[in-house]
Amino acid sequence: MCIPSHEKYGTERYGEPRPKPRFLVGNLEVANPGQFLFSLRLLLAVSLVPAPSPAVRRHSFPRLRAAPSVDTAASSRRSWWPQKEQQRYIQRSKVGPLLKSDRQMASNGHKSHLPRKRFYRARAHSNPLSDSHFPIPISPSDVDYSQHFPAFFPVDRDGTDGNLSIRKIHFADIGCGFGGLLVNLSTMFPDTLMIGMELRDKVTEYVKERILALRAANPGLYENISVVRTNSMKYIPNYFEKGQLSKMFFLFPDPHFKEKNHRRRVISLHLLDEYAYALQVGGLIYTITDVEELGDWMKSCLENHPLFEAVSESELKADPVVKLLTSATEEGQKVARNGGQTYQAIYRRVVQEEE
Amino acid sequence: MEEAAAGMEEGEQSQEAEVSPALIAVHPLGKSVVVAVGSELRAYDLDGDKAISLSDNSSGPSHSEDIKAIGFGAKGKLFASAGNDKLVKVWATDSWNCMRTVCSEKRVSAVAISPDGLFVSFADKFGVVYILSLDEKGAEASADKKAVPLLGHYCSIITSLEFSPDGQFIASADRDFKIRITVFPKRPLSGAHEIQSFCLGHTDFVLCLAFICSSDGCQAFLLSGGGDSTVRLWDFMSGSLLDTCEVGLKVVSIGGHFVPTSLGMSSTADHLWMVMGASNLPSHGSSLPLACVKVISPLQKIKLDEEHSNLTVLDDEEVPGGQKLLEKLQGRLNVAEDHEALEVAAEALKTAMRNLLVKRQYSVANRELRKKIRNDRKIKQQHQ
Repeated sequence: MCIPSHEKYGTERYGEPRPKPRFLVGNLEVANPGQFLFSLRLLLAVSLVPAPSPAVRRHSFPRLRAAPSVDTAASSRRSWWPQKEQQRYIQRSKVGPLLKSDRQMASNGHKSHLPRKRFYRARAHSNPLSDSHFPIPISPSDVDYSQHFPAFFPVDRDGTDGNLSIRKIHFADIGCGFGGLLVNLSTMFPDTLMIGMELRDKVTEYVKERILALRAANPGLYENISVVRTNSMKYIPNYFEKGQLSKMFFLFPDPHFKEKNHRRRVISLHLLDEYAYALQVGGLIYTITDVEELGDWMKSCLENHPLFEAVSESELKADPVVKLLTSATEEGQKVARNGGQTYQAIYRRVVQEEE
Repeated sequence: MEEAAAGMEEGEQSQEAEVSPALIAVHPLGKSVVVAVGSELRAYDLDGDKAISLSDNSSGPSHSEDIKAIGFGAKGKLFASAGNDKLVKVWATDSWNCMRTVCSEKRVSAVAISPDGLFVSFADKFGVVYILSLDEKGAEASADKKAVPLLGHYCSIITSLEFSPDGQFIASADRDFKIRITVFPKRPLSGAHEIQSFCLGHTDFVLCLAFICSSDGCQAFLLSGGGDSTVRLWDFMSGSLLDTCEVGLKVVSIGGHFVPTSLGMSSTADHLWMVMGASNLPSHGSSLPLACVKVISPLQKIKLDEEHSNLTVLDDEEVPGGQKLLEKLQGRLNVAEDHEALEVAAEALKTAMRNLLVKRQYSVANRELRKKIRNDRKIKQQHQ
């Protein structure tokens, strides 16, 4: 490009054509200083990223030395990743050493590998209103729990069931997330079958892997917990019979602030009908949240429902499960770490009073 | 979100007006018969053998869009109609005067009247069942009162709503294969919270419900029909499935191109009324919605072991009420001869029904593909 600048602007008006400004960086002459600074900033930013602060490093997992074989299913699942990133991540294992809390549980010191959360990242929310495309059991008797709890459903070699009374699930963790509560409850109630329900596919996958890893590391333990991927707002009656459950947990559900989205909240007057159906009389419903607005909402729903009554303070103090609500789940720990406040509502299923 | 990929054809379809099937309802004592097609209600008085003209004193608007649900209730004293125009109208059947008109927030998909005639309940497309008090004393005060939510199926189209004959339960069926039996409370305006049972067993949407009583009248059962072409018999107190009948195997052919879209029968059960029809037919030339009425008689002579030899579809002249009735209910005579129109209607209704109620199932591979397609589309749109 060699358009003489005086032709472009006209010399009459501006007099002498102004000399082009020169910028020197070292020995280089730079035509556009802004662009140069920008690229310099980019360079700096890029070089800063791989060096996290010590605090961040403390919370991340130590890296594995040996690179395991690349699992093709996993790599295809991550096909939307940029090629370079993908290669870098595939170098590492999907399975990492135990979490700190889990390490304490693995008392025998057995070396075990739990799934690592970073490979099961999912969007924080999932649409509960959408038409589900995952398989849904037609009725509670359709669910094959021997796959979920093999230790509790021994099948003879002939393929015939033994004459064991069929065990039923008594605890349900609705929206179990990464399964922290289940893992804690498992050792507290080793003879009670419990199930987590989670709508997000990847998160369910993580919990599944986590339970399997815990079972492998602690033979005989964690056999009473399992997880299903389902929309519990729609399909509770497809999983549980009337009065089957003794405890239901709703820990840190999505707040859905907008009034338009209140119908997406997992506790509502209409949905409580279904939870009351699944709960036995005397069964407990545990809810907790760190959002005050949602806490009020859940409390008022439960308060206005004729089939639920509040559990007294003294009973709450005696209940060991209540302490787990804040300490066991990943969400709860996050709230505690940030010093947030929690709002819990614990109610009992009662029989409707006759008038 | 996941529906986007199949979107192209669906998007085109949804721009056309929705096709609704014609409905028929027969007075429980056989006094009258009503056909709803499009936004039009056509009633015929069988006792007096004359066409009925409906009047409206409720100061509400009249139906302007397709009527989706009609039904008699309270031993035939009341009649309710509701539809896509979000209006629920309650009619007194002695004068055929509209007593009440209520606006719903969403399109109404089912309506039912309690046996004691005090309450009307209706359900919308988002799974909420509302209840409306018809109490005479409060009628003045509550004339413009809204209906109150009674119960909710979580975001699922409710296809049918039915009171048990003793008025103790209300059954609701939805497209998520479920039938919910709820205890109908003494004070329903504060909601029905106690679920008696869920009847689970259908493998596709549930379309219709009916309570039946054993011959001595002491025990009631629930019948349901669904998109899995089965009719199922339930003990609704426990929710257990008693029997299943595969309908596909036992169809009685009526002949011609007649595919009934709705059936009606009085409690004396001597005639089975059938209607076939549809509104908003895409290629149907005339603006008049299509409706064709036929009657099967005599039903009482049917014996299960016989080969249905007594069953006959009556000729147009033999229909109770004769040509006058047909002219009123069908809009014109000799609709049955119009094979082409009937065929078009049957096809359009089948598609409409499938689009509305059937859940789409995708294999895992298919789903991945659809996700990819969707992402590509997004990127393309951004570049444009």
